[in-house]
Amino acid sequence: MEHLPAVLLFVLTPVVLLVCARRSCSARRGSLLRRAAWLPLTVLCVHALSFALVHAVPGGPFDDDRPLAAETRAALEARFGLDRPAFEQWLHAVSGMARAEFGPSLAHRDHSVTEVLVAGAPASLLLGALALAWTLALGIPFGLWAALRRGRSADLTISACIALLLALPTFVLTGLLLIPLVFWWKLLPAAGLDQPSAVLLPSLCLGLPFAAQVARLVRSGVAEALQGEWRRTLVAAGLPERAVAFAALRLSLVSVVAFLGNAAAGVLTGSLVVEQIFAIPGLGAHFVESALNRDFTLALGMVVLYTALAYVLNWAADLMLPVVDPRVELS
Amino acid sequence: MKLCVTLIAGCAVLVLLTPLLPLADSTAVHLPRALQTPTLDIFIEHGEPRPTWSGPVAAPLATLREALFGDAQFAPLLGTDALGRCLLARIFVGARVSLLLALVASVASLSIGALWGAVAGMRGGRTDQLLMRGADVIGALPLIFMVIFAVALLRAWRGAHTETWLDQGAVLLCITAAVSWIPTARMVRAEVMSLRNATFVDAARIAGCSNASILRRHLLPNAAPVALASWTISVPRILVLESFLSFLGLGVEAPGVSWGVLLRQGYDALTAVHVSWWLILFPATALAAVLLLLGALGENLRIRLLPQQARGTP
Amino acid sequence: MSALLEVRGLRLEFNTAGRSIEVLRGVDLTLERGGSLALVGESGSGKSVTAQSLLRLLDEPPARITAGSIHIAGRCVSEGPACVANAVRGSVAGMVFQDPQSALHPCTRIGAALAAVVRQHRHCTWREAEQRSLELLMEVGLDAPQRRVEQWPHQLSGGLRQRVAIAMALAGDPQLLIADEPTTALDATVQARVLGLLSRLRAQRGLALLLITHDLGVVAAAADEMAVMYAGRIVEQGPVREVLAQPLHPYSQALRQALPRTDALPRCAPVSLRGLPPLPEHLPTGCAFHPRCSHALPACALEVPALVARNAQHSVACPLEGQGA
Repeated sequence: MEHLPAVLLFVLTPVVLLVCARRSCSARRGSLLRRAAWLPLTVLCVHALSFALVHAVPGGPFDDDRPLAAETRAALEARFGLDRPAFEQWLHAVSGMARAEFGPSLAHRDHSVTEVLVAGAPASLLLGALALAWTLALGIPFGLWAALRRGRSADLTISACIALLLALPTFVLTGLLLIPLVFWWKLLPAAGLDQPSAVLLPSLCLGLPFAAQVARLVRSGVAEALQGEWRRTLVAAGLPERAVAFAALRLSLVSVVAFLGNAAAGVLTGSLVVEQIFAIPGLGAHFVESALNRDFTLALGMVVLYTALAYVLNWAADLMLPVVDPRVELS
Repeated sequence: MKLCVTLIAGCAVLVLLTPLLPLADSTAVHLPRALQTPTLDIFIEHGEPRPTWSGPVAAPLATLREALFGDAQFAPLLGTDALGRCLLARIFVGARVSLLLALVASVASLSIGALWGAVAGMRGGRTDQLLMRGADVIGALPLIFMVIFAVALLRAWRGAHTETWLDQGAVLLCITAAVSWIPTARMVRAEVMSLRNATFVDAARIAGCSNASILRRHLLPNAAPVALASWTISVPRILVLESFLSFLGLGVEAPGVSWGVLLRQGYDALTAVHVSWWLILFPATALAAVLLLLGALGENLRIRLLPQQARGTP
Repeated sequence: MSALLEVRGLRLEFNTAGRSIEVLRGVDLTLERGGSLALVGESGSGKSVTAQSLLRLLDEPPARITAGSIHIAGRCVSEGPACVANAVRGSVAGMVFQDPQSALHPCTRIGAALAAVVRQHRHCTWREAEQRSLELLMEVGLDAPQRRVEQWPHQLSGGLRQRVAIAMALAGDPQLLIADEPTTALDATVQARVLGLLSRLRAQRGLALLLITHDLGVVAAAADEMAVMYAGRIVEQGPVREVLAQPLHPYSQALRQALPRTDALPRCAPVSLRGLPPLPEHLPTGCAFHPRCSHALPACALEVPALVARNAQHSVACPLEGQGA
């Protein structure tokens, strides 16, 4: 009875979805269902792999501080279920996962993993969403500008900035922005999320490399689109430059949307660094800390959460693709 | 291209000859002059502790340095860190670690990737399916999280045994090499596949050449440019990965020095009272410059070695 | 009142990599209102460049008009930047291109693409523009236009796409339609229907038609006048019947002979012209056609022959004027 939700979620749902996918007449709905079916399976795989990794490594969470008395240790391990066989522990963890319960955190002993995750999620989500907003808000206009001024000084400046931003890792870029903006000119607060303006710089640092990538995609996409024959049709029909440029931008958005899935995953990774630098109480800090503290339950919860997030975001980007480009059939 | 190669070669020589340079000891803690700002006032100092070097190449170079410069050495031109250690010397020592790690890990990842891709491409059929699905699965995992996980756990496993940087580096090296070979494998496989079906390979086969000699005479020399191009692209990627992990405290750990560690210490020392900008700016500049140079070299080599691919992607 | 389209001594060159290549070397064209003119020639003869330069559609640079003038409905479009042609694009002269596969923006619905052009040329609401799009689609002979406006270009066949392209060219109610090889990329049966459509539009709208093609069959079906182009110059011009029945320039004669004849005996096979058209950067001296001409005189290599009127309508740029044949 304990395993019922897990069976429902990880066995029944994928099977039902896959059967529906096979039977559905529209290719689009079929692939939608297939992707949905693979989500729990992917999460399960990643969970199993991480679990195996954790248990392949000797050394438990209670090794660190001072040596514990044998009975204390046994009591602790019994409390957290660490004394049972690995497979049983895994089954237990999976059925917990189906109920969104990852058990108590081993390091933050008074909180469950779910509590820790829920507490950290808003800050991280805000940061990530803003970073993606920067990505689009900066990447698209600058890319378009560069494409329309191809070969002139504006284009060369923007291209140089793109190359620079693409080469710099987040933690280098952050330093280069942080010192002048925060410490010399004191325009923005240094850390935390107390003021609304505090989130500006972290999200900018997180989003800029992706904005550069988007700008590059838009620049080459627009330039390539403008080579298309349809451009002559529009110009000959009397449409102004601006309308033609927007039509070209529309075409280049296809590659941008295809890239957004990657960008979202990259933002998740980058937030680890940015949250550390700016002391933002989000999820990223917990991850490194939990892996270092051998806080197995928290680490597993983080891995599962991030996998699911990355999967869903990638999926969302793929779903948007046919909206931007009608020629793309979902496959 | 020429400029790029010259600059990279210059960096490499500087890094190799670090023991020869009159630098301060990167580990000498000197609290009275902690967080000293960069200055050009005092250029040369005398009588400060000199670094000790060991190793077959470094030790003779250090002796040579004694002979050349005596006890003279550069003052902390780029400032000092929170423990009063000379940042200039630390950047050079960090460069040795970071670049060596990136170089070795990229060669390792190149070997794994090239082998994997060549086998998949040569054998084709089910072997190919199996190998490439495997690569897909590994590529689909949220790798960076698995890496953090693996590094942390491996470190825990190694426990508190021999804590020298090279051993931590070895862990880091294995991990970075293990996760960064997939693009190489894909590129090499595609190239081998297309070569395998090329007319001149058919001609060689008809002429009675053995599989091994076809592999040696035709496939490897023709796939080499692809492998080389993917290698030049992977070096900066691995450099970033290394410094990223070191930055998070999962890679090289203090007292070891790498550029990621330096940056981390820079951020840690940064407070509103002591805006020690140099501790971030100079390591960041060094890392950025090397990444830009390597990126430019990779791009150039890609265009030169793979003209047909470069034309496809503007 | 002047002619609808007047081109006088148009010279155009492309500047690439420091070299300038003259592609048009003095083109003269006249098209009256409601008239129809076919511009004929091998590929590379400059007919497509001529058509595009009329609406200044070529990228400038590399293209540059060095001499001559273009007047469309009395407006000069050859002077100044390319945007001076905006005054006539769509509203006075519409244009249809060769390849219907790529002529429509792939990510815009048919209706939206048409409505955008309609709104560019008349002040009206989107609703009115959509209504007008439906009328246009009906006019170019699309069945069920209500359904078509919701479709994407890739869902239409080549013939339908070309009809939509024609509808877009007509959305601004132009007096002149420039059709650049409109049927080359289409199947034979679809070709005939599109040509039929062009003739019907001419009759209904009083539209003038400038038809660029290399297909003499198309010329005979759709045009009244024709001009033969060779190496950036017009070598013969006159009524279609006269030029086809009695070509005066050796090049036109060769084109005529290369046509398979249905009335001829089987052994009277089409004769193909030897050699290749010259590259614009390596033009022969004198008459550009003389290396391939079977009647060439020594003088042909020295002097560029001028277009001389043989009678009121028919002119030819060859000193032989058909005597050699």
